[in-house]
Amino acid sequence: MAVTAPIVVGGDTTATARGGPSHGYRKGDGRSAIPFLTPGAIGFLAFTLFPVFASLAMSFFDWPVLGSPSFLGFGNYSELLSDTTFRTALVNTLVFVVLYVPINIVLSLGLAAWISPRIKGRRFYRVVFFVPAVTPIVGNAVVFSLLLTPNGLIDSTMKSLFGVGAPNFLGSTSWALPAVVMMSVWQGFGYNLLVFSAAMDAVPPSLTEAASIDGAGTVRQFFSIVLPLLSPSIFFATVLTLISSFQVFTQAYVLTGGGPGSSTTTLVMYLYQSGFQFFRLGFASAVAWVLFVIIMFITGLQFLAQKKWVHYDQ
Amino acid sequence: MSVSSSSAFSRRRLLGMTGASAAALALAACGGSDSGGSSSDGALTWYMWSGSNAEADAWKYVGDLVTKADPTTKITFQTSTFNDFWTKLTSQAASGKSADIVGMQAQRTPQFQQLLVPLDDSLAAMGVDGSEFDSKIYDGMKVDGKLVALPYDFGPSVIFYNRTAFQAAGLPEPAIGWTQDDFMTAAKALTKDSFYGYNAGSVIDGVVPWVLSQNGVAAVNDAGDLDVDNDAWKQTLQWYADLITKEKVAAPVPSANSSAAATNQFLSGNAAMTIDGPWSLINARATAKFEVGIAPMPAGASGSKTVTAGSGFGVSTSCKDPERAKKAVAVLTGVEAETYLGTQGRAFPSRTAQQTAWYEGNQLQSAKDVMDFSIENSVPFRTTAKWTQVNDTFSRYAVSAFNGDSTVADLVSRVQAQSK
Repeated sequence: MAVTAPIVVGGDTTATARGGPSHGYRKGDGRSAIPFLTPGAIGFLAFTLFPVFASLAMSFFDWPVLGSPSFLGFGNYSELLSDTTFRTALVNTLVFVVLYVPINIVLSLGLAAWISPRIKGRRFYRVVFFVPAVTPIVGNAVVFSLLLTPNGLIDSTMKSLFGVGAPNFLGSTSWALPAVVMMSVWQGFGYNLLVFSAAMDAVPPSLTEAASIDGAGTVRQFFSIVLPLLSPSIFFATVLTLISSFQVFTQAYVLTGGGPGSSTTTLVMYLYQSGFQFFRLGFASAVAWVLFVIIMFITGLQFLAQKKWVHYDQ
Repeated sequence: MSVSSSSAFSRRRLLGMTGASAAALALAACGGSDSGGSSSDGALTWYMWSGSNAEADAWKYVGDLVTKADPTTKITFQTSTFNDFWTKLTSQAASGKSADIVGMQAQRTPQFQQLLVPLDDSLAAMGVDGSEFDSKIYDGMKVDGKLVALPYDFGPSVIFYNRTAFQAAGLPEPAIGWTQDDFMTAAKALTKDSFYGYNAGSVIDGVVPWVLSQNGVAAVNDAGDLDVDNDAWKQTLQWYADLITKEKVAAPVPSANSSAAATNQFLSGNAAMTIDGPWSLINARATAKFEVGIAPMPAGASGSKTVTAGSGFGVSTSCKDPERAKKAVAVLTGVEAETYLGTQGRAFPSRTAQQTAWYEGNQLQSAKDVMDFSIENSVPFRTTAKWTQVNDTFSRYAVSAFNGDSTVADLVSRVQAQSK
């Protein structure tokens, strides 16, 4: 089914481009479109659609890696309800999202506003701020773990400056999650900054000029003109940042391994542990679907709420 | 006009065919990426971890010995890093497409036994005499009395120490007969600023020898069950945590993710002693900017006790030509392979007669007494089928317990919960 739909679309555009819809052309183009679309369609079916449904089916089974699966019904899901580690992972993920998303958006918006006027070296700053976003996250995490470790750069600098060492960031239950958030913000703000920066450039200067003639200061201009015009970009950035922050994994995996204890075990970390360390593929699939439903729900809410604050008209 | 339209048609056909062949290629590529499964033409796949190109080349050399012994057998070597190895092996096993011959650690055999073909009945046909192997690691490759892999290397956990630091501090070097009091005296004398006497890691492997030496028990009891929620473990773990929080002769544990951090602290010259195995010794001597010495475990109330662990090769149940694969395993762990690996310093041979190759090939004669003593006073590293869970839970909760954020009682109860 997925194969036929795009073919018709492809046929249509070609026919229109040639100046007139003709039934014969449509058919012919459709047939020749098949081979072009097949590789992509096969990839989509084999590597996206099939795994999605397979994981849904697996979540109803006790599916060990070695040995044969047995049907559980909603067994995995009811186990999740009473699983304290899952609850911890859920809370950790929510705390991460609540800390990370606002900090990320405010920081990237603030820095975008700062480099938005024609300040000297603006392009340079853009590149500098974007560098963390394009460097491999694993490499970043390794560097951060060297900075944060006892006798690492931060600890030894503090010792020589103030005589007091830094906390054992990654080895302490109270500091580990904030450290993961900190590293994630550093890694992630560059992308949103670029989005906001581009959106600010698109704000018509005539509007701000008109406002300044009316006596509005820079702050008033920003909040009453620039920010509303930026709202589609902010909405876009918030949705994407929220989804990606619910899926946080790499930072915690490399920096802390989910520890100490389970203080940085996020949902995806727990999914990975269940599936690939503890070999419970069915249970891991159930975690994945719960995460999917949460993300779906929150993204749905955002789309409902956007009607109230996102302005698409200029 | 008609010509151009027909050429347009044929071009379209041509493009269509190109697209179709691209699709076919994509499919073929999918098929080709299946790493397992053998055929009757003598081709075998062999999956083994390696940490560097030099290491992989050593394995390829050993793999060529199989073809030398039987020209009809062709080995394809596949590799990944040690950590990825277990994840990949698991996912391959899940799809029933494991390589024909797989690398296996003795302490992971309970977990992977379903993936491995028992070798006991085939030993005569393979030309293998079990008594030529060190019995500790040979027995370590058995699950429920069935041999599931043949070992190529093994070794006892021992203490690595920074000879240069000991000499500079004028301390007697650790040697056979040293005690845990000597250990503590040395650790205290060596600790200065950010240089610590001991490197206390959060991995359970590095703790078991201490529990054995102090209280005579390991992580798994005689019945084969996980048994850590007891006074013996709590006592030793408290002592171990005190090294960090009370005696301050060991650095706080940095994070739970990396067992490599344990040796790195030692190798980077930040800790004078650590626990490790002979498999790391050659690399440690090459990397460290100081002289590396080895000593047995310091004797506690139960003597100087340690564990032996090691690795080998097994035949996977998905192998279509298991007899050929078994013969190949015999060559991979045979006399010639073991001599080569020993001389190269890649492995401390599990074959007792070939162990001299390791000492002589690497100027390690001085280590022989310590190795012999430690092997003699060791027990095989016994584990359970859920060892990954045990290992992972221990690493994560030990960080907070050792750093003083939580208690060792909490740690052992959480680890014990992984026995179910």
